[in-house]
Amino acid sequence: MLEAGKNKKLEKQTISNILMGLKDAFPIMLGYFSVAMAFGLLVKSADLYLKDSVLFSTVVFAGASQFMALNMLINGISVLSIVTATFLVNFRHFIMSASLSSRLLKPRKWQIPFIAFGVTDETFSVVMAREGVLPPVYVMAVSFFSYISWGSGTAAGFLLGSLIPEALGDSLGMGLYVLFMSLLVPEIKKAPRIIWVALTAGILNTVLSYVPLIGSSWSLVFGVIISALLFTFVFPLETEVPNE
Amino acid sequence: MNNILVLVILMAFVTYIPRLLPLALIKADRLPEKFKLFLSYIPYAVLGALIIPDGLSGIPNSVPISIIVLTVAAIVSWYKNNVILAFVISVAVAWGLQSF
Repeated sequence: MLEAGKNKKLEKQTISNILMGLKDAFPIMLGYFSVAMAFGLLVKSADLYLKDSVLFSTVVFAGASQFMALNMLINGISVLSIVTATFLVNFRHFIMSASLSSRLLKPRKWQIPFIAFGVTDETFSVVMAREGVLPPVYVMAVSFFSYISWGSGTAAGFLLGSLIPEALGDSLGMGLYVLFMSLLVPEIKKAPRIIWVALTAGILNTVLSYVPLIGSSWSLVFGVIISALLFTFVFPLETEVPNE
Repeated sequence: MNNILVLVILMAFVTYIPRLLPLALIKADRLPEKFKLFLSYIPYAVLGALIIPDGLSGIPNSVPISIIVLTVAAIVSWYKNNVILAFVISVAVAWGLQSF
């Protein structure tokens, strides 16, 4: 009896976590679908096949690097160079995974590979905007719905071309930056000095991208780490960080 | 054709490893406080670095429209903590300004 009651409760929690994930993933899904359509269309214009486009999106699942890889491929650049560039561009997920791991609520062993696969700029930003510890099922749900949208958008773009008028497609793509802004602003409202953490990282990202050897692939990683280090050790913020 | 498969697998590998390692290795309950504090700043720093500079040209070839849209998003989010509302209003503004 007791056991059954416990299971029911857990089941209910699982369903509510999945629904919460769907709700939070919604803006990502809209943005991803239109950006993925652009990717699918680009694959088609490069004279590759539908299965190639879907393979990229479902196996790699990393937006910016897919566009970059495709452009390099079209320009006849070697596989090794493309893979190296991909590693550099996607290395930023390392720092996001590290930050996410400190907030996850006791993930089971089998969940970790799935959670890891789903880490993108958008899914990471969305789940971390929640307060307190994060249920693994919720995190997986946000990634899952975003992933479905990315994969299906890619196929739709390849098959149907741009269904969406260009201006609307661009606006939905811009929606991903809107999403970042709408996640950041409420945090700044709660703890105003957070604006300095974000601004410092943004400015460093911009400046460092012009430094030879760092370039735009490392600038984000360095900008983020330097900013977080500065505010941890050099200028500790007096206010509590809300997510702690 | 086969080349694509090889490329995709290699890209997937170098993308997945950095995503996996920290999650597989870091034990949240055994982290020093300072390191936790450092990790807690990462999301804000990431958001800042995603918006600046790329978001400022989020609408291809139109920095002014991109900046207006981001400003609208910031204003809406300041008054209403509702991501979907901010998304819908800002995308509508972006679309409107581009069709103008």
